[in-house]
Amino acid sequence: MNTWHGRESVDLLTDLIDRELVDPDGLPVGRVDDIELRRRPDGLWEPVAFLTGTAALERRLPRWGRKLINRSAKLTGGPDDTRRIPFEAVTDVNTSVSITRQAAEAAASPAEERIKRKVIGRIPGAGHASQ
Amino acid sequence: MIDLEGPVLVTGTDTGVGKTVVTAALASLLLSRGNSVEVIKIAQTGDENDAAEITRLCGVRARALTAYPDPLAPFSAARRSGLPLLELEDVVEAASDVQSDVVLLEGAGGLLVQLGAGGWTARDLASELGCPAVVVARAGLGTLNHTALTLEALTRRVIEAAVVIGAWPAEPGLAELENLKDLPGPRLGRIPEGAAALEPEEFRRRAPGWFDLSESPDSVLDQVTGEASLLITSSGTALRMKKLMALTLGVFSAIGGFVDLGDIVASGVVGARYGLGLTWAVVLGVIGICVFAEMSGRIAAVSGTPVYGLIRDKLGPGAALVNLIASFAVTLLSLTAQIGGIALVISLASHIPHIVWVIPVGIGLWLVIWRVKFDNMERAFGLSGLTIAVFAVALWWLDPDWGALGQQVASVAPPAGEPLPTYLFYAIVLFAAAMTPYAVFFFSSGGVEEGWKPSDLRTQRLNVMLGFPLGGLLSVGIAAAAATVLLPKGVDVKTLDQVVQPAILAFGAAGLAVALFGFFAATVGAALECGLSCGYAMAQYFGWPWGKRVAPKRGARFHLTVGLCLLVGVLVVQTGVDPIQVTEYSLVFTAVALPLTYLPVLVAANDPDYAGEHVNGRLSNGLGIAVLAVIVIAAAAAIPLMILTRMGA
Repeated sequence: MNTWHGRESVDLLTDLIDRELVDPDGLPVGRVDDIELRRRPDGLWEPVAFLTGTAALERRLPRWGRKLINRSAKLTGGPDDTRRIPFEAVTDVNTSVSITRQAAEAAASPAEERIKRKVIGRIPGAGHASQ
Repeated sequence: MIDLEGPVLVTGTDTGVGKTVVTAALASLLLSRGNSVEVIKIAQTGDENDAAEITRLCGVRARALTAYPDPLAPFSAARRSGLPLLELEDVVEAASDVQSDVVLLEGAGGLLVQLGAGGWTARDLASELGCPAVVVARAGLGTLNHTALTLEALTRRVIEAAVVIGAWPAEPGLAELENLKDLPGPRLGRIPEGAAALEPEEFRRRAPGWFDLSESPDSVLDQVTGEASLLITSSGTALRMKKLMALTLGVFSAIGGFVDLGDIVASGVVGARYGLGLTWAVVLGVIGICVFAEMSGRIAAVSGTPVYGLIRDKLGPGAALVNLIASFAVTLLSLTAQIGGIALVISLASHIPHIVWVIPVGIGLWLVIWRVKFDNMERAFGLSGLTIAVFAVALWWLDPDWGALGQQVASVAPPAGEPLPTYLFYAIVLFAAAMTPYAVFFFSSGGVEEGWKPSDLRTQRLNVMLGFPLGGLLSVGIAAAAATVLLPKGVDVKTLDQVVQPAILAFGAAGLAVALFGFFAATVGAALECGLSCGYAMAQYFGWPWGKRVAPKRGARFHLTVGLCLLVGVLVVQTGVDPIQVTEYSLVFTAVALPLTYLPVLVAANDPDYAGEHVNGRLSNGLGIAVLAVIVIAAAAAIPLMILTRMGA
């Protein structure tokens, strides 16, 4: 039987969606906010990629939540485009989904980058972890 | 010195530094001490066969888990050859299956070379196994930097290490001799150059002499970071100290999360009104928080998932968002209360109105979160908070009617003349003061940050079982002191300076100073926990990088959230609201919001995905459900009772 990261069957709704995406160091990249499906020639739907970002999350929220998230995203210069992580970039599936470094970099949040550039990065000591 | 028992990683500052010969020599040393040894070469690349060489030299069983034809780093060699990559779990399993006393794991190349699937490194392996590392270093120029870098990388994951010089020249030059003095880290030994050319019998005979297990300069952690001076070098003590330090996390969570302003106020108010007649509510709260924290700590250790991670996963984005908003609001309210509390404590000590202190307090808290090291923060505030025990000591000093206090403890009904609804309202307030969800967010997120593994579960349980009941005792101490001093006078506690009266009565100005110091530490600790927890909850829901261990630059949204929460708290207190009242409201809303965070944790603790083989047993589930019932009743009754009794008036 074919397995996918050690699993014979995967329930997209309970095993994958909403799980955390992490880079090879275990640092969060985002969450699986949505899953992209593709229609195969045989008519079946096949999941091909994870989507992350507030734009993807919004679609799964009730209307009030959508508005709230959208407005808060606007406050920080968003909402940004959804980032796509193809299934090929997945290296492990657990309570979190590990992805390759390259995919993690591609999926990095523009909002995080903006806040780092405009606010946090300007405060002295921002580069030091207070371990 | 490191513990040569169980798995031990042999790694290097570079490739070709003599890992193989050091491994063989170490194996010979261990054999000479009567240990059984096995060697695992993690990945072999190129034409050489290190495992065979080790077996030839020292005679122990050695095998390579995989081999790739190209003489490259394993990750690259695997890609070129198309052969499968090693899974970290398989290596961990192979190391754990070994029956010998010691299994030496020889990496390939230096410490951070990617060895297998997903790019895991020898460091990940050591961290996963919780084993020490032997770092093989060169003798000549350049080694000081390489060795320091390697040790630093190990220290970051709290992996103990010792250094061996892989090839010590027969005629050392100036650089080698000077390096020998300056090489960082505890020195385990040096292997003479050309040792591999010795006859195997000669090699085995001489190898033990190349190591010096007694030589013990300061620990690596100490040398590299200048911190952790408590880590002492002899392995047994080091291990014990490490365990002791791990415990401070629990104690800190308990003091900060348990005895916070909410608890101080609630204990003072209740003690002055009902004596110890509501101790049962504190006991329920302590049991509740222990169950809650133990489950979430277990999940954090097994799956590395903090509370809000699993809430989103279990509830889906919509319900989890409702949950997030409610818990976030309650935590922000608690943060506001603590900020006000700190300002009040300072104003009691300085006789300058608390409103003056709000902004300095906010700035101070932010600086601590921005700059202070996590361990120092834990230790400083956790241990200082223990001085709240001054109330228990004052009680003993005042020598009250112990029989009457005992009778109060045993009662579960309101004293004569006291209305039942008010009594129950205060029971809920005390219960909520004990079961603060932010303490659990903090505890489980801290556990994830500290990289707890299933092997840490015992420490984690001990944290919970020691920390929270200790916090409970401290708050009962406050209540008992109030029952002895304030109750007979009929004082209706409305301010902090009333709460400290028993300490003053017993010990005068010194008592006041100690009590205020304890309150200060506890409220600062709680404010830090609340502030960080606001950030944790948001970051974990949205999947942002979070935590105190990543540089603020790498957790920009997390730090922005924490900073803004502090700002909101400061601004609210600055308006002049009474911090004590904010505290009382925050406790009521805590009670209302509790089921939201508790239920998903209880569900996840039964899910093998999250808790692995450590899912709830019968006892845990029995307790878990009993606590759930109490939480639901308290949540449902909190607001009606608040309105009915007009905040317990």
